[in-house]
Amino acid sequence: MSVAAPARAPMPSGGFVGAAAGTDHKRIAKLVVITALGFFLAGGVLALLVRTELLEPGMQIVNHAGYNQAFTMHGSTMIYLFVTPIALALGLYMVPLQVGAAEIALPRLTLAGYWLYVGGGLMMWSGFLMSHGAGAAGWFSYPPLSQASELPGTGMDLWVLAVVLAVSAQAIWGVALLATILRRRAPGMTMLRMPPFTWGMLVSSLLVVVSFPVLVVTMTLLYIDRKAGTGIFSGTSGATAYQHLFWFYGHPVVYVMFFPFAAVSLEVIAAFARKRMFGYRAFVISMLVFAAFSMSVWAHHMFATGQVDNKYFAFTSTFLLVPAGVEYFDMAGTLIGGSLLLRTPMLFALGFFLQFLIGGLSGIFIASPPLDYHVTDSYVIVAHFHYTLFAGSVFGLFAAVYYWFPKVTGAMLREGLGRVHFWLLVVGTNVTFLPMFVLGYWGMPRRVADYSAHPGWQTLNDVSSAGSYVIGVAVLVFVANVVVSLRRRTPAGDDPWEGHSLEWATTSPPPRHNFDALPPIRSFDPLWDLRLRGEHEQWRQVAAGPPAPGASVPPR
Amino acid sequence: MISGGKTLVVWGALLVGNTAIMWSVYSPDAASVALLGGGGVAMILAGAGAWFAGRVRGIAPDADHDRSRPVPDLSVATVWTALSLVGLVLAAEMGIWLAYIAGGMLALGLGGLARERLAVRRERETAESRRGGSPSAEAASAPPAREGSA
Repeated sequence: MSVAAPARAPMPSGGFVGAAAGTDHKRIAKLVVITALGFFLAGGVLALLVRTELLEPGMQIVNHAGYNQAFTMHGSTMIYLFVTPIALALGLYMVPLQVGAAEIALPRLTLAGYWLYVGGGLMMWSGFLMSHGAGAAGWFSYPPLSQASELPGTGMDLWVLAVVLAVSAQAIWGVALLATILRRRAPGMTMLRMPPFTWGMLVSSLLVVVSFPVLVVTMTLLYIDRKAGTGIFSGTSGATAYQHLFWFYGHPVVYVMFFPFAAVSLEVIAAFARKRMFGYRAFVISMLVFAAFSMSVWAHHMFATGQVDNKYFAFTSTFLLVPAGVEYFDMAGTLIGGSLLLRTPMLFALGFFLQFLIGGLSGIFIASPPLDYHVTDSYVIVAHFHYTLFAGSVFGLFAAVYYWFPKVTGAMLREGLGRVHFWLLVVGTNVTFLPMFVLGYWGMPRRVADYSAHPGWQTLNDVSSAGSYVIGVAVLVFVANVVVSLRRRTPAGDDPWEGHSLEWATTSPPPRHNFDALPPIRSFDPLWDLRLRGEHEQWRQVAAGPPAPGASVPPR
Repeated sequence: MISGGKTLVVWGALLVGNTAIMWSVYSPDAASVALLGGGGVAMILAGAGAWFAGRVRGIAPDADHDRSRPVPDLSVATVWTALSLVGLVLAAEMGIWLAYIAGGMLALGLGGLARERLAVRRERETAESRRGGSPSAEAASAPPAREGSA
């Protein structure tokens, strides 16, 4: 039990119990990150399996049922168990630090969320041990395919229950983050002094609290439908209702996987351009507009059903270009005139913005119903969302990992290995996903285990599969980098990048209650302000020693 | 400082505004209006409830930050309770036998959480008396505080 403990109170260890039951937000976040990266590796192996099967026409490695399980579990793992949880986990770790709080709001609920998430993940993967195999109806599991008459078996049931648990956990984390941002900010940390990443987490949390409970209810209804044959999602109206409910979660979650990474990439670019972020207020407004409209685009996934008002959803989907464009202007404005330092986090942040552009621009085309009719259910869609979620979000994630690894562990990641990781990932990503645009344009449907021997299809599939192996090698380089950097540590110091926001004002790693003392908060870049005023060293001395009378040290 | 309640109300209003655009300019289906408008109204109600509750108790928006909060560093009961819930969900598939086991585990977990809560209350009272004055005297002079996380 700690009561208003000094910030430098040592982190209680407690061995396994301490790691598993600690209420400190940093510990919980680390657990989520490690678990999510484990699921990322597992989901990546399934992706390689899928790509290997598609090397040539015919069935070589798995049968059709096995292929359906592989692509379903790949997508489900990446969305429910990797990208969304790890995006929220970055917030669980960094948001309390960035707003100057001693802890997260609702720490025990946050901890409970972790165990619900782990339980859900293991439940989903345990489907492979069942007689009918794991879930096989896609990560969206539309009825009637997902109904018991079409896909019987415990594995699919477990998949539905697992989604309920995992998404409930993420909803809990969203609530905890929202409460922290709105209630636990340090004195002086007004809304318009919050760092960009915290804004990214705020709008993501707002999306989470509205949309995630809808999926929990939907999956519960699907489970009842499967077990009791209630027919809730039967017939055309039932199937359409399911798609509405699913995509009311399924599209906002894309932005939960985008906003945090876009925001951290902007922070990284500002830190490595050695200047203040350009257009902060425009960024804040664009994030709010982006969030509000991103709740209103879900039915563009249903253009081809003919059951929705295509004009409205085409308008909102295309309008998203405006706030997205503001963020790109902010990025460009921050880069212009900066003293650019091309370290690994900066490379990944730039990679995020440049590659996401391909995903975003292709999104404009398929936001138009006539063009969407042409390419729906083809590989164009696969290419589009992999450019947003992998070439975009995962690059943003690696920017965050390389940027904050020194803060979390106290050790630097190896720069050389980081660069090898980056360039391999750039090559692998584009070699894998660019050919998919052409394949889709030529008519290759997605979610198929086999394809006919059309001219050029196999060549492009081979190129795409070769690219996926390069991605696999890149991920192994990253794992090696983490292992080497933790075993032979290069001490990072408290602020190796000369960061701008409050997390760099404390030790690396931060103590149990985060801060001994906070610097004056005059803007969204409190540490940058100190440097501009020449007060940085003075502040460091104050922070390192006993609080001086008159220093801005909040009582704790 | 902006309160959480107001933020949720503004967020809900944005969603309702989007619904209004959809409804007035386009020809949406009922499900689209219900989902987006319902989400917005739910947020407005939640935000208004939080804001009103804060007003009734006279809580300043930033009252949370400086309040000392006893927090258990470890909460085995939380983990136990969460795993019990996982067991209960799994019981839907595995059978009633697991529901009995998980239900028993859940009761133990909730008991552990109640025990933690009592310990937290004791710790808070001890801390307040250490800072000088009885807990009741301190409570009388201190600004009203929101519910803590402990």
